[in-house]
Amino acid sequence: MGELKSINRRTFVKRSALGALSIPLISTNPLLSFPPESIKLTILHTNDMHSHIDPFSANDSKYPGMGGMRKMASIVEKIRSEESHVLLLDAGDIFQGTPYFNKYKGEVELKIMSEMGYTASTMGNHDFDNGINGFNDVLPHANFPFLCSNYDFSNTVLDGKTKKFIIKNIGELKIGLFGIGIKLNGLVEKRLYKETQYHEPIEIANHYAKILKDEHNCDIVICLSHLGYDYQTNKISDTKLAKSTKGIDIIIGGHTHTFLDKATELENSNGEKVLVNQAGWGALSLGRIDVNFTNQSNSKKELTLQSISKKNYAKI
Amino acid sequence: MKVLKNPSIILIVLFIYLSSCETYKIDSFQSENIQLGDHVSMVDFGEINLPQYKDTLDKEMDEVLNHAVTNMQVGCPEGLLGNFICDLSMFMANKYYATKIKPDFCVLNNGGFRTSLNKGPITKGKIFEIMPFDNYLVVVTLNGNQLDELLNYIKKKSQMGASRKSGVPVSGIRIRITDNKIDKCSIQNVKYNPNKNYHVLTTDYLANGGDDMTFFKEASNYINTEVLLRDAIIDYIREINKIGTKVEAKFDGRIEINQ
Repeated sequence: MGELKSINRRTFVKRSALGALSIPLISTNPLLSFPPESIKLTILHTNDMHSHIDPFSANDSKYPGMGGMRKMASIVEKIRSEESHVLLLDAGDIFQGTPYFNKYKGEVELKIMSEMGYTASTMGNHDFDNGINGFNDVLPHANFPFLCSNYDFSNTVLDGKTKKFIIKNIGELKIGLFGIGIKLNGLVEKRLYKETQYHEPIEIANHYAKILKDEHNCDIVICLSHLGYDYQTNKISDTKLAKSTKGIDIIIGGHTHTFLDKATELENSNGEKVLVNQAGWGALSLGRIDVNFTNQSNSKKELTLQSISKKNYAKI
Repeated sequence: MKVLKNPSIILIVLFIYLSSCETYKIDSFQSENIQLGDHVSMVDFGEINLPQYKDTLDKEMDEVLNHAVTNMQVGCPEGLLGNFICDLSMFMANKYYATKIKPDFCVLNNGGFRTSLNKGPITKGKIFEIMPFDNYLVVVTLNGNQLDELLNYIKKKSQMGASRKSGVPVSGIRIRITDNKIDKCSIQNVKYNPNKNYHVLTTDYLANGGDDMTFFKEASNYINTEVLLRDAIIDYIREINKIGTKVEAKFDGRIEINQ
């Protein structure tokens, strides 16, 4: 419908006296085309793919012939052909798990993800397995950003190579994204993560969610997390992060290799809805969340347009 | 249409759109995660020449190193796979990797062995499946207290029953557990002496406290052999094949639970 509207309008503008003046404006300023009343955003996500490029072997006791990035890519391709606004995200632990990583150090995984059109990823603990220098060596093969908001890489080779947050414009939507990594001490050897400083997730998450929502007016804020879905202990997890922060709409998780049928709905510290999702591991499952947006100002605007029309009718 | 032809209206309309900041509000969510079954087709990634990587890798991984005469799995309190890998680690470390400080015994973890070794040909790829992690063999020195903690850890894990992570694979040490107590322990066939320091062969992962082996973090004399456990396994299996020895392992009661 939105498309039809704008075509009609363009046809009209071309015919009108002001047409010649307006056409350049229309082609350069997206604000001039009629914004749709509702938009659907399709968020696809993976985590803990662990270098599973090919499917699990046919004689695997648990997942014979299943999973792998090559299969993942065909599903993503199919969904892209069906939906117009697609985000593809990863929550870390891209590396380690098949000889592809041992031999090629992550080059193949990152090249495939670049081909697949990933929007962004965050780093998992296993992405440090070849050391921070090893990660830095293969990073040029990724054409998408790594979002690491609570790792301070200042005194490492990764300084300036990752992003604290990004804002992605898809269609009329403004999407804010940031990434939270797991505490490395005790999980990854110091010789691998070197001078990387870890900061507590809740404070950092609140900080970037606020920046994205309040300062940049993002329509949705998504956190990529490698904290893990949920723990029995006090350890910080995605569910705890969801409940103890505000401003995040969706947490895309990893680390615990949790298979969920669908995203879990929780309430944040303001009582607002937050979704937490995770898609197993080994590229065995693709997480999917479709978000429907409505244009907040549309109904009001239509009213204004009508009243202007009426007023001018009267004058004519 | 007549109305819209008025240029002033167009300007007003344009003004409204230019001055208004479009904001969208989340209305609703739907979520359904998708499982990738065996029916899903595969993308070839011609652009990055995936076969170039895959063929080279397959060629290397398909190398047959030797043959196993029996199936080997992790087990509790003892498993053939654990016995085999700990024994060969001790052999290789003493012969090649750690000749200055020779380890007295070896401790690894069953959680680190990701799959079983099947009877028949053993490919290099299979060893990568068993041990995908780049864990290095290291030698650390434990004092009496730390060794006591290690023995308690082994005792606890050995009584956990059958699970992928129960049991502790060892070599060079023999332990008997009776009524939840270790009533016999020998290292290199000599009775364990609580006043002596012992050199333990393990991986850097465990030496750094992995799998809750916190006692290792206090150990002294950390020596990294710079040899990957996986490479030790591959080299050993290949080497014994050269002298016509097949791969086998036996239960020998190295960890025994006396009922």
